[in-house]
Amino acid sequence: MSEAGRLGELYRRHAGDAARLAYLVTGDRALAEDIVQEAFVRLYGRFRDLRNPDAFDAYLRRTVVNLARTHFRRRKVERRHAPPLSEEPTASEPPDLGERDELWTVLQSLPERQRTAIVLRFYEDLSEVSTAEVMGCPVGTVKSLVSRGLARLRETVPRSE
Amino acid sequence: MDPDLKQMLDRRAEDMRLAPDLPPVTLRRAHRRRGWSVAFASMTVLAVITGTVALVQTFGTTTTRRIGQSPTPPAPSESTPPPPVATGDYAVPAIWPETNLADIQAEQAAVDAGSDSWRTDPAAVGQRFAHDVAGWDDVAVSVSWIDPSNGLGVVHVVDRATFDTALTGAMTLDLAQVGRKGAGGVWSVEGVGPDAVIGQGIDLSCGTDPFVRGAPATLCGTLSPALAAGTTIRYALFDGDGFDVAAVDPVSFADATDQGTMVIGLHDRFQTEFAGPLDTNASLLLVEVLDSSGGVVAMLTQRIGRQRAPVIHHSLSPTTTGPEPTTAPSTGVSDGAPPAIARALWPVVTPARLDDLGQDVANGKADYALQADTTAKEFAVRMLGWPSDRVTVEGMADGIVYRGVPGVQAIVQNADLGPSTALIVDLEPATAGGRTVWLVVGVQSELFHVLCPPLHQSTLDTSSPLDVCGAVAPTAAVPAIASATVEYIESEMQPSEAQSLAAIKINGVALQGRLQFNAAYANSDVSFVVRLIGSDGTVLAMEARRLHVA
Repeated sequence: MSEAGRLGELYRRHAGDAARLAYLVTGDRALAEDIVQEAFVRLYGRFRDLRNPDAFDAYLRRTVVNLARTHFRRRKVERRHAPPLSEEPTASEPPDLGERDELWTVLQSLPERQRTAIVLRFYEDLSEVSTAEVMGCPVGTVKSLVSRGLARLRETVPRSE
Repeated sequence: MDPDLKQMLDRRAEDMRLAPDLPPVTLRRAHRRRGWSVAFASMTVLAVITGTVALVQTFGTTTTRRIGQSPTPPAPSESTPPPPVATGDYAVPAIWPETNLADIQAEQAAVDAGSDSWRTDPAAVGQRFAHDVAGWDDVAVSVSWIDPSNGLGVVHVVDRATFDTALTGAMTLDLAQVGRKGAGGVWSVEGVGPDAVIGQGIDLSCGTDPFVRGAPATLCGTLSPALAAGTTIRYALFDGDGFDVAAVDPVSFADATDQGTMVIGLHDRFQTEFAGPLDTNASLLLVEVLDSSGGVVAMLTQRIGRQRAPVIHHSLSPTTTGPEPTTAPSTGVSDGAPPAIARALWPVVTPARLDDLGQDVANGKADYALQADTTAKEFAVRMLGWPSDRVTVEGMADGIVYRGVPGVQAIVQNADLGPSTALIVDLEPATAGGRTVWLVVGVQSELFHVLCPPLHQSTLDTSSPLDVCGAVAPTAAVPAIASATVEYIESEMQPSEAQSLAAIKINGVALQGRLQFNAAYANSDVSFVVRLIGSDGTVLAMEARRLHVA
């Protein structure tokens, strides 16, 4: 199979999962789609060098998380240099029409790293060790990020009965 | 909460759908990215060739070379095979002008015969490197440190045309005499570090395992906050087969495995992903700092790999305090690496005190030392006096890998001080009482950076006053004073009778002062600490290093 064909096959198999992860981390569908496309562009040409091709999803997951982080970092810089009048709202995009999910809203208001850690732990079902690997940080940091994020969610959103 | 959260995430995720097939535009972008790399490489080579022609015109018959490019034989032949590897699996650590021992030996013979006398002069080598590689035509070169017995040296090169208070237009060259040591031996450039890069410079270990074959790796670091806006960073990664000369010799930008540019981000940090080294043994990373017009204002090279070339080691800290114990306690470092305790600033700095720390940990009196983030926080509380309830560890990143010892970097924030004021604490693991503890080995701040003595300087000359200079971040727009201290490392950064202290003036974004030594500190390690202190006495920021006095 050609490299392009292999890319297409990998896209069919993994892009959906990657897009869902990107969406949960960024809260922005269009941005999530862009991130996934960029991730595949970046990973193109490296397939034959993968030490463990079965671990492609792990590489992709990490790339998606890093690209999301890059996006948020760039946005912070833009904000820092933006004129005061152009101040943006905190959320990454206006809430979807009909948005009533308070938990989702609060999740999106968390700091990016806390949100990423929570998504990886509770949506991707990754262990703390795997989450740390994806985020490139110590396990203790993951514990701290998840703990703080959950605490924030708990104090803002009452537990459902 | 957790089930609710899980259900919400699952439900939300279902809202996100993609077309099942790869969009043609994505495939095209992938091809374009690959094509762009080739085009970029071609443009770079063209630029280098153009520069080379100009330099040949400037230097007459002098041959100019690029990083990683071997010298051209006098009468090159297309069928000329590459010279043999002279030192087993590895070539030498030199990156310029030659990259292998055979060529260096040939150059040594030429020098002995009366040619290329500049090769025996470290300053001249620095000057020629600046001309040939960075394109700096009018430079000032100062020799910072030479160790003739080991054939090691450091020179600083300043480009008069671009140098300013931000210390753009400055680079530090690590030199080595790979063949003959001492007088008459030829000097080679072993590595390049831009003075503008602060913190631990280029940190290659942000990723989980940057050396996994084919896996993406992360390149990140921090630039001086005083750098002009519009600065970008360009990087290129070269793979070498364990620096087998046959593989490395043809290296040029056209052979870069991956290359790209980065913009300076929040807190003057930069970070990008690049293709992980294809070879598991060694690769060479070239990083250039470019000004807004694309001119090279600083440059850095770093070799990365699982194994280092055995020919020569350039120690960051050539000597340590006092004699090493004959039965040194296990410090949790890999074979051949100096123990972390030899670089430690806090909480303990000697093997004996490391044992004490182990006892304290065993007794539950120093639990903070068991985790890097808690150690960093404790450092901020005890050494800067920051209120414990206002200090948070904003993030952790993998720190510099020093001879196989993975360090970590903690970003410590004081909530009272606002954004862009974080303390950056470098830590390394050591073993105490059978348990891993964390030691602070370096401290920087986002508020300021000490540029002289330069970060790469590992020794201190106390025979004359020490000039201290640096740059303060524009964000540090608060009334503040600065002080610099030097004292025996055994004081563990606490004031002692032997402390040397000086006030450092702050003028705009510039720090400038001179430290008179109260003691000689001969044959000892010392802590060099610069503090930025607010009008209410709060220590706003700190930079601390461990240096050796010969």
